Amino acid sequence: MRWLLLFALLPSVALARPSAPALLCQTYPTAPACVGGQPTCLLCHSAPPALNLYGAAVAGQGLGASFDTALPGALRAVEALDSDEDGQSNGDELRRGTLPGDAASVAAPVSAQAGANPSFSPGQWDARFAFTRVKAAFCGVSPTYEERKALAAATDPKAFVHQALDACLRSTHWRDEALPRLADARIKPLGSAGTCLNFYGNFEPDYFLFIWALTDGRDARQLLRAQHHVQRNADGSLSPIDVTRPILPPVSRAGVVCRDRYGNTPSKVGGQPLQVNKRAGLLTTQWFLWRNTMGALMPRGTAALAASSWLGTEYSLYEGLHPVPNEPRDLDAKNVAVAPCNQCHSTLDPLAYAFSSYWGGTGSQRPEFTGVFQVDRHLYLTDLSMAARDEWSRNPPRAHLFGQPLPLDREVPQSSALVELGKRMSDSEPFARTLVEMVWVHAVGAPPGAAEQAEFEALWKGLPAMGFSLDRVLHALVDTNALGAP
Amino acid sequence: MKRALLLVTVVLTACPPAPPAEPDAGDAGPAEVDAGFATSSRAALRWKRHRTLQNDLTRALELTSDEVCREAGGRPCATTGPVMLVEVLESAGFANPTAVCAAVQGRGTCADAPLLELQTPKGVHVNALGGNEPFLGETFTPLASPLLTTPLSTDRMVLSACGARAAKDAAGPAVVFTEVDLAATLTPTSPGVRRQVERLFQRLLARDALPAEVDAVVSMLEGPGMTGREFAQLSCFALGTSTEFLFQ
Repeated sequence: MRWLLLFALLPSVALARPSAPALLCQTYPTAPACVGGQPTCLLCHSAPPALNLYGAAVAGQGLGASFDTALPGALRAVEALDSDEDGQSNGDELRRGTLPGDAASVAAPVSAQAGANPSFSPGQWDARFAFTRVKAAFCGVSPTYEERKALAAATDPKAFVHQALDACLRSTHWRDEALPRLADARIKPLGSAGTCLNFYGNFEPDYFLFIWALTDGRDARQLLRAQHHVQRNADGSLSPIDVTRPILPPVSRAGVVCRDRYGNTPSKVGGQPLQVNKRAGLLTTQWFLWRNTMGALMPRGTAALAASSWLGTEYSLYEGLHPVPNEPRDLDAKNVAVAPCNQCHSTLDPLAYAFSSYWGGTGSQRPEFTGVFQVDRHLYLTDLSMAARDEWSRNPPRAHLFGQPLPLDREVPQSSALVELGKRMSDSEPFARTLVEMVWVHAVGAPPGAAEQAEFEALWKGLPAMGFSLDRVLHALVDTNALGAP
Repeated sequence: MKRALLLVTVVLTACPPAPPAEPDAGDAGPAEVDAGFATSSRAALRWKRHRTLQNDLTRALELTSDEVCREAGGRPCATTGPVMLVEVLESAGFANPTAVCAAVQGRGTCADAPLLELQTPKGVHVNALGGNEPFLGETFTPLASPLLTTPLSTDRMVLSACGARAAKDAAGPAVVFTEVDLAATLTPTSPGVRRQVERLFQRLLARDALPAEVDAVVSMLEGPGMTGREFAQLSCFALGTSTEFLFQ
């Protein structure tokens, strides 16, 4: 998809056929960029739309009106070249997962130099090294001298490390500090709008659901599927709460009575109104919808954040595009149907339709409506023209994910398009890949490198077989050389 | 003293593990000495970010989290906790947050308490040390790699923690620096010097020191006179800012 930018120099082609990512992946189906994801724009571009050395080499093969048929051949034609002169051919770089147009992106050799080492076993899984990383990443503290002595004396060092991981995964550090930090960019809390001094919504339940779904071996797909709230109990534990009750927001904190600027009390804000069968985990919390949808008919920001958070794709970077024919319809008259806006909005808008029946910010009159599902919500948004409302009612837009249609809200009265979206998202390869990469970066300290692609791919592809349990993923991660080999 | 400390740093960087791929946050950057060790196969180590750094210093030096490091008018360098009312008022720009606190509480005096019970990183060096402050700073992702200011923040935090421990031990009873006379001027052969260095290796690096490493740290005492307390703080600082301590 980042290949779309290549079309920027060939605008007529770009508008007609944003097919480059798929063509690249058809040519190199096992390239790391194509397994569970799509190539980035940096593959062909230095700063879009400018081509990098590799993109220029491909374009130099005579692409044109026959782009779709010419591209595979052009890719093959420059395969043996080393466009960025980093010592590795374009074809090798694509197969290893590095960027053939960026000399700084090279596969570092994985080989230990000869010699003795009194502390570690370079080049192979090393219990001491893995133990140190496990303790730091999941317990938030390095091993002590005594703990390292105990490891050295253990009859089964690997089992010792896994026992340490189990203990860490039960620790307050992992649950109250490390996991919430992995949630921050997905929840995007605002201290200025979510405390009793200025209480527009309560993001605490979002954190609780995130932590709950990713601990104690639970199915991580609950992140996008849960149809209940999660509350923190007096003993610090988390538990789903009775779905027939709203989650109770704080009445006061730090001696301050919670009110918003309109004087509303928590009974009206932060109550997390729950229509059980319209609920899709973190996609439908009151906070998420208030913060991102606000008063928009077309919640594009909401959809973009959902895609970024759970599919690992940034549409603004031309990532993860699956254009839908005859989209965007531009029902709210934002001029997104014109080029080049339509290149992204032909994917983004069909995703945003799924969020459009959920109220975002609703102002002072009905703050408790935030997050509520209403199938004819578009009729209440006065900034939409009458003609547009009629068009929406007559021919309701159909949400799509990965270019595939989702049901209309009215077609699934016991569910919603967004609930179905949450199910498909959480079953998808990009979701598994994104989830595993999130904890990989946390534990290893960097995204998977070229030499680690096989281990990374095995991990996220194994997520279904592990029951979508993050705990099991982490145990498998500990066994990798990426984490455990110095 | 600076020259001696630099020498220690040079020697310590020759010790395992191999140098990190990320910019170094701790040592002075001298050329490394080939000690003949097998080196890392991946040249990619994990940066010890603010929370682990704080926790490791707290535990190794037996300090409370409040004692590790405070700067800029007594604010913590990097710690974690619930979001307090006064902190929110401070971040909102109130010049006298305590008075505002009392006003919003409807009391005569401020009774500071958690306004958000979620744990959050906070402190003047949090971002430079690889943390992010979501609630007050509205930063949602941490740095991918150290900043230019990261070594400075790291140095200040470690030096502060080591100094705090040395000061507490000098006032007695000593807890960490128990092997040397903190009030006396030390030489390399003063009683307990080598044992003290060995204990520091165990506390900070969780391993036994190699003889050459002990020699390197003790060599700090070869120059002009250094008191036991100075030696305690600087030997602690040398180990606490080593590559081995800061990258995993």
